[in-house]
Amino acid sequence: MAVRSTAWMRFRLRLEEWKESFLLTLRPWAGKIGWALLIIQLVLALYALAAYYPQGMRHYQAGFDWFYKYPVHVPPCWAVKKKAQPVRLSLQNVKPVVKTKTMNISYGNIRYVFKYYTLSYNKSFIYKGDALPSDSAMLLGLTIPGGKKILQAKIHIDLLRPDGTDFVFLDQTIPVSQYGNKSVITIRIGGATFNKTLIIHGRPVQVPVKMPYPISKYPIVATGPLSLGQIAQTLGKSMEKVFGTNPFKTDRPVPAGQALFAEVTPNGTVVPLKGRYTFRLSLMYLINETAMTPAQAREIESRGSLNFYFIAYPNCYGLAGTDTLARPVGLGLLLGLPYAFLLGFLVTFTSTFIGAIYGSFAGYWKDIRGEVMMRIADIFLSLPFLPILIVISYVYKVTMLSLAGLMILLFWAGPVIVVRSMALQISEQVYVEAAKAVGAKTSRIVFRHVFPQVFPYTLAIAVLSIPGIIVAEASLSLLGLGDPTAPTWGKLLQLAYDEHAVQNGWWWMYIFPGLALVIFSATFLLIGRAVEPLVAPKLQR
Amino acid sequence: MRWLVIKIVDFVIVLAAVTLIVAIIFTGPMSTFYKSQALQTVQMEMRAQSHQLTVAQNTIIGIAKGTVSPQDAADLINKLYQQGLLTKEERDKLLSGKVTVEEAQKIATALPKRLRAILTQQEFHAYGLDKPWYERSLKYFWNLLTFKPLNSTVLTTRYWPTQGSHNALDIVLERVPFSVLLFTTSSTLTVLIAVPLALWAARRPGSWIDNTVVAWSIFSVSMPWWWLAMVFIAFFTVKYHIFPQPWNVNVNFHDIKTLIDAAALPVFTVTILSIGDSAFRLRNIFLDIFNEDFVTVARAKGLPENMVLRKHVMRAAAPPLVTIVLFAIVLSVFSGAIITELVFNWPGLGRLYWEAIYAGDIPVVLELTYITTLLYLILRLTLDILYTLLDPRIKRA
Amino acid sequence: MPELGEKVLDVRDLRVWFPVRRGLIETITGKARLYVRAVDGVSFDIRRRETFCFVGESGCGKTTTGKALLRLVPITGGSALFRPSKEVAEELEKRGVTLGEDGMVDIFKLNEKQFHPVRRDIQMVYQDPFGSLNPRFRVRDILEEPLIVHKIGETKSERLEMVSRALEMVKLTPVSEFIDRYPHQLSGGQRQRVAIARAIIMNPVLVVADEPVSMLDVSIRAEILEVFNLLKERLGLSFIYITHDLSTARYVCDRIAVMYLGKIVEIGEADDVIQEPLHPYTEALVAAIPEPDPRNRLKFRDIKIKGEVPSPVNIPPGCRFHPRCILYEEALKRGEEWAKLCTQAEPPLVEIKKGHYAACFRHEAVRAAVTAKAAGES
Repeated sequence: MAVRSTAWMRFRLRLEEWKESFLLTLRPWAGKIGWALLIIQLVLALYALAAYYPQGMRHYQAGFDWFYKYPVHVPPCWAVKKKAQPVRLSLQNVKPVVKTKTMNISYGNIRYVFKYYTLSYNKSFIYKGDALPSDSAMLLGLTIPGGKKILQAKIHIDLLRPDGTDFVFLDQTIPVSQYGNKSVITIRIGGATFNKTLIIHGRPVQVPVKMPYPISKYPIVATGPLSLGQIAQTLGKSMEKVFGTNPFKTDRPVPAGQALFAEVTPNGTVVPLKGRYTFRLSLMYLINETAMTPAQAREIESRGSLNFYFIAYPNCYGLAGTDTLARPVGLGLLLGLPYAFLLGFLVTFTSTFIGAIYGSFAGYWKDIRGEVMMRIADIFLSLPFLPILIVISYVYKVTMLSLAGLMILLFWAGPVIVVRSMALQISEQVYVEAAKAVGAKTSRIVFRHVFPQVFPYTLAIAVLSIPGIIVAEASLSLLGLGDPTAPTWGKLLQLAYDEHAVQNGWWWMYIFPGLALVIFSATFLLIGRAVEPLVAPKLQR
Repeated sequence: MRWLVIKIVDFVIVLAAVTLIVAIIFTGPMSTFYKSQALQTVQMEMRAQSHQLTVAQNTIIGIAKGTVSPQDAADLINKLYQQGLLTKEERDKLLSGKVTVEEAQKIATALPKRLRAILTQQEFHAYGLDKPWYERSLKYFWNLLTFKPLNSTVLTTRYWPTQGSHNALDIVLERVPFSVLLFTTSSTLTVLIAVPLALWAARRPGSWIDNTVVAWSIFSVSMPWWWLAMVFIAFFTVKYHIFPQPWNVNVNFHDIKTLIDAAALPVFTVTILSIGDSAFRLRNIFLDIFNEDFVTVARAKGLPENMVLRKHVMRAAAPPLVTIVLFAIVLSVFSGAIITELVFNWPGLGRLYWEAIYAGDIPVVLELTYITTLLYLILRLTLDILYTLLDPRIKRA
Repeated sequence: MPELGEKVLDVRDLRVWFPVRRGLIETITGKARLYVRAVDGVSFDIRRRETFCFVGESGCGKTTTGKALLRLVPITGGSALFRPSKEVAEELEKRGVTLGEDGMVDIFKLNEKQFHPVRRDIQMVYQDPFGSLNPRFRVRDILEEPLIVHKIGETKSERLEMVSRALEMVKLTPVSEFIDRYPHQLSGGQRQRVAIARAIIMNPVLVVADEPVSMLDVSIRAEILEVFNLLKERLGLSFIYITHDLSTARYVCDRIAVMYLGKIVEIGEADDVIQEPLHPYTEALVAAIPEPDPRNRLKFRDIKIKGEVPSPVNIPPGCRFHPRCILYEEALKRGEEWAKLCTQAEPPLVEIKKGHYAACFRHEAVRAAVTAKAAGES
């Protein structure tokens, strides 16, 4: 007689059992919250992987263009009452007003025709923010067609403020390359000071200290003939006229990037100056007209030679602010999630799996083999975990996977003692003896009879030990020892610790990563505690 | 008696194995790393001495060519000899002035090589790298097991009256008072608070106090201690100046008031955190006992609740309670939390770990690990023996 | 009584001694190692289609004897000649074992690897139907396990076929209803049927049933015993039936061996043993059978036994039953000569009537055997 029992039916049966036990874990409040949190975090982690893997993740750790896009260490927006108005201004579509002036000069019997071209670009905006912007940046990409025909070039940039005062950024002659090279000038004004070695495209770059920070669309640190110190000097002088102090020289009562929009009230407080601001940029060329083709002359007149952006950064960003590398902390939290899952799951499940199999054998063999196995496990349990992890990752550069391997090597003995005492009880059961009587080999008895009984409980142990793994990784990262390319939460905390976020009051830099860590760990503790009573063995006291 | 001997043999085996593994891990991989560091130092030293080296080379060649008289150069030659850069014959030859130009050139070109060799030897000796690592690990292993003093390579005592001692045991022991002040105080506080709290929670499972204990246990286990330390520092010292800011305080045992001021916040933080776990575990123990039949019987026969608690519950809870309390308090003497102490700028054993690893002071790392492991194993052994003697249910097999 | 076939098992002088752990100091001082003599020189034989019973108090070594046949306990000494089935005999020859002329092989002399195929032929049914089935296995998994272990049945469907046949054999029908159930979804009787099905699925020669009905409800016992009888008829099995309950033994067994402290004190046809016991211990056991007739409830019953079973570590000298033997006491009081033998020599098992052996000095034949032996030795 053939028995009707398809694989599908059996699968349905299994599914029913799983569903039943899952619903049981939902009964306590811990289980409800835990599962809900897990689902939310899983969805977020999957989204992070889909949207940012792998370039986005690497970029978060090693990218350099965050300064261009985001403000530096600003708090989250919900924590800021008075908000600044972000300004993004470009001269891309502004038609220049061109003025020319021709000069004829005779030098001996040679006659020269010189021409002054003046290209003026003006653009206005209205600042209505209740607070000063956190910082301002200016990007000037100036391409001057070089060669012997251009004798001199000059640039003038200033900002006309609502109260009629005028901040001059630049009023400089630009040396012109004789060989037709282009000159790119990039400038950032403001209070963002930085002292850190960054890895850019695999090379360490020492970023200057207490200097207006240069940024660029290109991975080039300010090139060109203009020294940044000159900008600071020019702007400082004109600011000194308005405020009475030079923000570049003093101990920065107001960072220069904020000072552009600042007004000092009679009682000494600094408030934003609201109203119409106008950027004025003019380029002046002195050209040897006689040596120039008409096409070249047109190129100078065309505005393709100039890229100018001005950005006033908001004084808050998103739900979690930004850190000292101008990276959004919220994005960091999102990107850290897959890594937390990877490390936590990989390490705990692998090590408890190994420990469970090991413990099953140690419990099944009641002779000297079991004893020796227990001594070995005991030795591993007595090893000092964190110092060994620190030493090894201090000497060798670890990756996420090698770190996981190392942790598995250190943590596999965790469940052995409990599993062994369970296995001792199980191998006393009559059905184990029945299997032995039938002739089943040790491996079959352990894997088919002992291990499946132990397994649910080891799953609970694994889930409960996830927090320890995550915290250990964060601790390593805080010492600067984890995988340097992985944007884990520990890395965010390390930045906060290294940049003295506690002393400086940048609370969002360490509160949020820590909270993410706590919530992630708590999720598994909640689930584990809901599951544990269902699978916990009744060990004799 | 057999069980006792077995337990003691076990103890020795585990202690020896852990010490050996740690000695191998800490000497093996570390040595390549510190070797490269030592070679860098040698390179820098060579650069610093390059000028003197050139002078010496010129003088030697000058003697051979006759431009420098051996009498004028005698001081320099003797100094080079003392440094080990010249052999005796070479010195005698140079001092007598009877030296050919070829010979002098040979000596001059050999000088940098000899200097590098000498510096490397010195540097390796300072880090203890002049023997192969396995030999060193075995030596460390044996010295640790036999309690022979280890000499530190970099760190010295800083807080003891006898400053500058290179004995690794001294370096470890001088940090113990700091650890005791921080961890033993907070363990004691934890026990004092957690036991009544757990009893309270266990008597009314599901009440708000019980839920609070459970919730806080989850949070305290899932957060890194040093993170809460950062938050507390920001709140209690930066925002409100209730405690001194850790980075402004230099703790030592001469200034007791500053010391206690500085210890207040760490003790507070560690206590708050360790209460979570202890209270939860104790609550579970109590809860199990409350559900036992003998408690139900005691209540059913009309014993007053106080009596039930004292006579039945506490007596049954005593063994695990004693374990937890003993482990917490005794182990706290030699415990350190590496990063928590870094964050609190607290010179305990945890920070010593990091300092020693950072400085490459292998003997101190080993001594520290050995002492903590030893204490932990001794405590475990003692409790094991006590239980076997006291508990009638455990078979002495 | 069914017709008995050839011998399938011939056990001679089986001994199972468990060493007692010595203390360290005792080891150093060289104190002699002590043993728990669970089975101490047991000899019997079993024929095809026979049900052979072991009866005795708990701790007398009857279960250990059963387990020793499956080599589940370390065997100290003795031999067990076993007649394997055809397939197993082939398998054994492949493993370099030559059978004796009569087709028997001493299974205690095989190594573990050689013994493995023999496990097909000797199966066991346990007392506890709740413990002997893995709670995580479905019925099909439980029954499939021996097949997988012994690589019987090429495909899964083939094995399934055998599983359903075995289930039908133990009357767990309809098979499709039971095959996917877990043990906890079955009643005690159904579980024991599953356990029996596991034992017979490989067509064994001998099944050791260790008190298979003692943990079942009284109402189900008869059914299970009926299954045993049926299997015996249909498959030609031999059973070793271990029980402490003489009343069921009477209905199931062909022959009964009464064990006391690791030794057989009496063997014989079931009816003979129960109706005319030759050993005082058997007499005591028979007297302890509860009487179903309520009129006899107040009748004084003469229990010819006193005291408790002594520890198997310190077995009394001479006849191991004598400290509890009322017969011996009375004989001593009467001053009978043979009573002295009880403390001096171990009574051998001697055939008193045809096919009925006993080991008690009250029988002349036993005394004669001892004195003959003593004479032979001197």
